[in-house]
Amino acid sequence: MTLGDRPRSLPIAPTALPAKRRLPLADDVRPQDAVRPIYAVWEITLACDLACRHCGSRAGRARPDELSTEECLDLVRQMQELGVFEVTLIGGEAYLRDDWVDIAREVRKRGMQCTMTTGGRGLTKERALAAKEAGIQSVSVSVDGLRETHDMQRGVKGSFDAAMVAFDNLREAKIPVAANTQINKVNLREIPAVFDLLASKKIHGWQFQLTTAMGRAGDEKELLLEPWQVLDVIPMLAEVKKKADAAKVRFFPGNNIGYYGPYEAILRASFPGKHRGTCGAGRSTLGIEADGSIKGCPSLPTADYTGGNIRDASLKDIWERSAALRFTRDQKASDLSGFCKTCYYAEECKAGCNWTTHVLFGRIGDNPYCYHRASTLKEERDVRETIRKTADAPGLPFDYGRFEIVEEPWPH
Amino acid sequence: MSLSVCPSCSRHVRERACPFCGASVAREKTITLPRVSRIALVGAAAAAAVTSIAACSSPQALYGCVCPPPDGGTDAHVDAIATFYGGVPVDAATTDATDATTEDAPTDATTDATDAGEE
Repeated sequence: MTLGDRPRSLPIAPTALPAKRRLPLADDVRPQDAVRPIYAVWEITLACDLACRHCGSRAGRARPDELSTEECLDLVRQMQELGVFEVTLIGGEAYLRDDWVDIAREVRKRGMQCTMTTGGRGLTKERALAAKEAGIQSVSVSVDGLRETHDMQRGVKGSFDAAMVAFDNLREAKIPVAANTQINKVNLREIPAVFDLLASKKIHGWQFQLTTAMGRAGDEKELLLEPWQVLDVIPMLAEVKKKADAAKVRFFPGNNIGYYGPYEAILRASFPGKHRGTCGAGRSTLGIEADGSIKGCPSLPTADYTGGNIRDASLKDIWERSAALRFTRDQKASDLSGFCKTCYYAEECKAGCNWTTHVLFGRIGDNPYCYHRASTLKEERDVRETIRKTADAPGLPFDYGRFEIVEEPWPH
Repeated sequence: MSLSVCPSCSRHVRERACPFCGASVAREKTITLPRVSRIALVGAAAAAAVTSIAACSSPQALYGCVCPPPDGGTDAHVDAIATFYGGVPVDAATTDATDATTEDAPTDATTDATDAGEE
């Protein structure tokens, strides 16, 4: 399958709006706000050397007000003091920031784990060695298909070959390599072959997730899987899991892969309870944008889920006292709607990935990208769900349009 | 109530009789885990299925946490360990297999000695 022309005219990479500032914080700290993040994902710059057609942040240009080196190093200190265990540096493309090595070194100096996620286009031997010197412990390279499919999605010819070179450069620098992959309509049939390729690169882990309708991906309806297609995706991944086990590659489903059904215990065999937990935004996870905006999860839409800015308040205060960071601490099964409200797994699942749902429908609580839901609808009512776009996104980083669920009979 | 996996249909259930297929389901022991990194949480899951974490004193859901972190805070419901943009967590075994000289490799316990793939 191929993609047509880009649906949105230039500029592909818009200039981000200045950060939202001086957002309100609650006066008090409640007992449930004492939870602490174990994992921070930090966009240290929005500058990027790829032009990915599924990019949720519409990366390309640096934000107009990105943090200075001093501000970044102070933020590292605050993360340590908040109790963060692990920091993943992302972009845009993290290595396009001149001081990315200094930031990584400070993360390690302060005793936290430091990893990086990259498209790998410019991850040269020199940069790989610099990452090693800084103490970066693993780098995950994004690979979204075999050569032609990957390049088509990444928007740059040669990006696949560059990613393969990045693996080699990292291993030569003795940095453990991992990989991450989007799953969508364009690459669905290639996923087993992609895994074989990645295993040949001796990755220690593979994280994968469904392409979600944020940013440029929301512009590209033909990229997005229909909800009923999880009935194909999940069993396929369970087959790939066998290969991962044989190759000793850690299998790491992203938070929008699921949910429950007969394959959950296979896909998440190493997870607590062999199943996904609820959304960890603002509880186990912290997301940071390059301009100092703080979110509960790096993927969440900026406009709706920025709790504050590190230039205005301390990380601890934003974490504990902003409504946008608190929302999953207060989320209840009774808040759900549609199928999810009456689902057997409502309490344990709470409608899966809040990011996926919000960018589709402008609200959380009813998630059609679910194996249990799709199989139940098929078995009990012989219907399936698709999504239909009803509004375009404005064209800003981390934005979203609007979709609606359409139910239709299963074709026979 | 924590979920157990039905031995017949492989679905997660909370009852002793599977509501999906009717098979009998043995209740898995409720385990508590301390506040740990993602890799330790994943790695500890297998061990936690048969052995509780000694330092934890009050039972909670398998993925919950009752051990206070060093700063005295609490971590109820630390249960989601993956995010979209996040990388795959790295463990000491991985790092050590690739670079035996790393002195400050992560010290999180893991039961899965992933082979980083010596060349």
